[in-house]
Amino acid sequence: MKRFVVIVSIVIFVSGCGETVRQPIKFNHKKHVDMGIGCDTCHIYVKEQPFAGLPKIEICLGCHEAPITKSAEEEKIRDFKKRDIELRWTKLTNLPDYVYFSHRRHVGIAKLDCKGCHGDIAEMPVPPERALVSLKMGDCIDCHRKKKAKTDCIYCHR
Amino acid sequence: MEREDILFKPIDRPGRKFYIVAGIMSMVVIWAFYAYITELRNGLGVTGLNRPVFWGFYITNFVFFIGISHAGTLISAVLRITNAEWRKSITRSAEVITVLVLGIGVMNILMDLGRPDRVLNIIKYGRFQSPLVWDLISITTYLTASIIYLYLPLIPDIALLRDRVKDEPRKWFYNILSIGWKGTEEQQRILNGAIAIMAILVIPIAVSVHTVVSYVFAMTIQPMWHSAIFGPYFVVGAIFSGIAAIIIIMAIIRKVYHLEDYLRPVHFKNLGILLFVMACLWLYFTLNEYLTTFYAAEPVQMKVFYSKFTGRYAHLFWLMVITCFVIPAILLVNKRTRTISGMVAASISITIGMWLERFIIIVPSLANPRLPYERGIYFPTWVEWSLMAGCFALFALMYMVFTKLFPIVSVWEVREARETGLKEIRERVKEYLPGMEVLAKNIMSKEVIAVTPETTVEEIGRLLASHRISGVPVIDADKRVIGVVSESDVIFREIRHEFTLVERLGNIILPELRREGERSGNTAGEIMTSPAITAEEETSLTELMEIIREKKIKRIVIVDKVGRLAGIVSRIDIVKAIERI
Amino acid sequence: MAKWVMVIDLDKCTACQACVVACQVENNIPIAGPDETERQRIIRWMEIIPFIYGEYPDVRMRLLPRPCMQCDNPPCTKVCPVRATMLGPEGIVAQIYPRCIGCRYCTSACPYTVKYFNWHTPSWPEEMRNSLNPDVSVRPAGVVEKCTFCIHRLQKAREKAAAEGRQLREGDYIPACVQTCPSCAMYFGDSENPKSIVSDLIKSPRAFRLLEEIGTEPKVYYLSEGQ
Repeated sequence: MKRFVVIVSIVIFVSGCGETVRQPIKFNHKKHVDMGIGCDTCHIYVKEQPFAGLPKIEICLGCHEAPITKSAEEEKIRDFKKRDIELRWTKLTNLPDYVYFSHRRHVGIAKLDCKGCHGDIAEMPVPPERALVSLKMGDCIDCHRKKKAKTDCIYCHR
Repeated sequence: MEREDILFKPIDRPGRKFYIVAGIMSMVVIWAFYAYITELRNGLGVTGLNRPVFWGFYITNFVFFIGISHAGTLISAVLRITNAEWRKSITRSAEVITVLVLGIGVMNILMDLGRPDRVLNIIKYGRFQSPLVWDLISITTYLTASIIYLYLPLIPDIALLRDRVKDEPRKWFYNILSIGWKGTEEQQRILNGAIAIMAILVIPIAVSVHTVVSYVFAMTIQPMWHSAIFGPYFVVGAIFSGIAAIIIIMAIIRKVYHLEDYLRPVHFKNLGILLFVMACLWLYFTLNEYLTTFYAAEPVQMKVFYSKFTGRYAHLFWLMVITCFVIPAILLVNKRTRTISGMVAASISITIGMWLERFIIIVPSLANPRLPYERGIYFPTWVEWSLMAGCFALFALMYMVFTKLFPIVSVWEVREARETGLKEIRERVKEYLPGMEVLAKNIMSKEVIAVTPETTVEEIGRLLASHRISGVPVIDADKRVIGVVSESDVIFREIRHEFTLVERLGNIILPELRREGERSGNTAGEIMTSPAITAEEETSLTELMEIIREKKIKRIVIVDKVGRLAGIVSRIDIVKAIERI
Repeated sequence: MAKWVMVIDLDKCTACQACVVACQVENNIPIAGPDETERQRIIRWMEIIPFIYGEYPDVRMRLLPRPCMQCDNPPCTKVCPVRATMLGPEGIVAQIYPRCIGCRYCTSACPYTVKYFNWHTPSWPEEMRNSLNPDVSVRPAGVVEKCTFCIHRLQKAREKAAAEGRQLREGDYIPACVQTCPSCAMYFGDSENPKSIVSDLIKSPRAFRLLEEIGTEPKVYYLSEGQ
């Protein structure tokens, strides 16, 4: 029994150790959203393009040119700029390359909530280490059925 | 028991040659495994396949091996159901072939897949409309049924082995597999029932297997694949190649395990007849297939047709005709070549020919697409050759391992056949032939010397001596049998009178005789054994023999319906009757 | 529901193979290289096939661009064991790469031989790596692929129309080969739309389809005078 518990916990531990994501800046989603800043302020393509886009340093500097808070993380932005380093955000939610997904279709046209697929990212004070929601094909199909959208393979698989 | 030792020899002491051959086969298998790893790492590009020849060696081997699988189980089941006695020593060796080649056939499909990692998609997302899914269902059913069908008659033999082996690991292994077989009548009854059910079940399954294998091709609209006779054509071809495989393998195990006593020329002769019938059927189907194509003369079909008859594949096509029909026909029809080695040669020829047949069906159709592309050319690469060699080596290896673990001739069935086979056959023949039933009235001696109760002992003694008989019935005035006086009755009376010493000795040696010896007198009525053991005229020979055995008597007096003397059956009459059968 | 149809006017076609090249680029079709091409492993969703008539010296050759026929009664989808290929609602025969097990039954069953198998992991010269079309996936080794009538273009066109709040218009969606054709020999459109050019063209007496006699109902029409 003891051995069994050890093996099970090892399995759980190993399977839990997916790749964790480290972001260049400990961005506080919650603070920004609480101030009334919309997602599309930084993810600027979310309504126009298939991809939502990760903010370039210029977008940050639009507000943070001069210090607003005393946060060390905020200082990092200007430091990056000074050293002429682009922000290298890491994507949390990765689509396989054989799936066609368009943010414009879902956010721009169908007006879906980001939360539906991305979870409570807006409530996160620190960047999460992995996607809050792990999406499977079944999740897409469920939603498409509910909203009476197309469910033929060919419209998403390419 | 001793004469069965030869059947257990491969298990007890397989010998050095066994390990040498097993080693060589393992090496080939390992080499093939390396080839497969190469294919896995680099994709199917390492094969000779291309567009439009998308299918080549692997699918050919798949159809070929699945075809061979019809050897064992199907033939064994048919022979079992038709009660062919001669099957008993060959069924096991044939059934093993089925189980092994089915597995190897399925492996060939895995080798052929571009994404073997996704093979479970067939189960997860299987489309029942696809003939490949029919194959999957049919083949897995057949594999399961064949394993059960192989295992059931193996149980009593495993029990024999369990009681035979001494070392612990093997005893444990056989003990588990024998699932508590003790050979009780109840167990035997259940086993026979189960085998009978399986024998009936596997026949339709086996036929379905190669039918759906043929459907893989016939359900498309490709030239010379889209053919209505493909189902039966494939089944016939499968049984054909299957029998050839049995003959080859039987000849090998006969030779290497010295089973000449069990795998006799008659087995080969019977299979040889079957083989020739299948060769004729194969020719008939082939003729049908090609003649209809040729006569309709559709251009797309003719392109394929001519590529086989005169074109790129002509040498293979004609080699197929020669190896599948010409060579076997010559060898099997000619009495001088209808020997075991002749039949093995015919079988090897057929095995090659049937492999070519699969190839000739698959590749030329693909190589000649309907639209005018460049014609496909297909040359297998070393990977495909290696994997094919690997398949054959793996088969040989697994077959050897089987013979190392289990007797390749069914010990209990042969034993049973030896004990009850003759009787069963006689009973069976009696069922459908008149005059086979031997009755008392047919074999009895009608001119019987009989005596009356008043006849003196001296008179009886004279009668016995002068007619050289051992006993006389005693009848009354109505000719009714009231007793029998035998030699011993007379002798015991004599002993009683004159040789009391001998009588005493007799009492010591044969105490049960005392009762008879005590009887004394001077007439038949006084010394006879009464009532006489009699039987009616309609009594069968078997029953007569039983009476003689059980009552330990030398003759049976036969009476008519009202008990009047009709005749007498002595032991010599029975011997003569059996001789006639 | 729309029914997408391609019409190729053979009398206008110069067999310049621009469609072939456009297709290769649009759909991330890997470059086979001379050796593999020699072994007939090349992938060409759009291919020019030669029909040769007559006996020497009176030989004529007709060249014919051949995409996937997108049959209405496709022999390939019938045989797939895992539902990796199926007829879409708008008549386009789909190939779902992540589902495909690579058994090549569909490639063997296709009477037009338009399905291709990825014998190797696809590769491109270093310089071309970055010019792959992000709208089309790169197929892994071991799966079957085929012309899709550039269905990703349909998805984008439909999305664009929806964003602009209008219906899909004629000409919003055309495959790369049609767009490229320098002699305007190729037409593409919705045959259910009576106002479309293709719905007129397919009624033309010049129109024919390949292997019509086997009942596959292809949606690629050819126009040709006479033969």
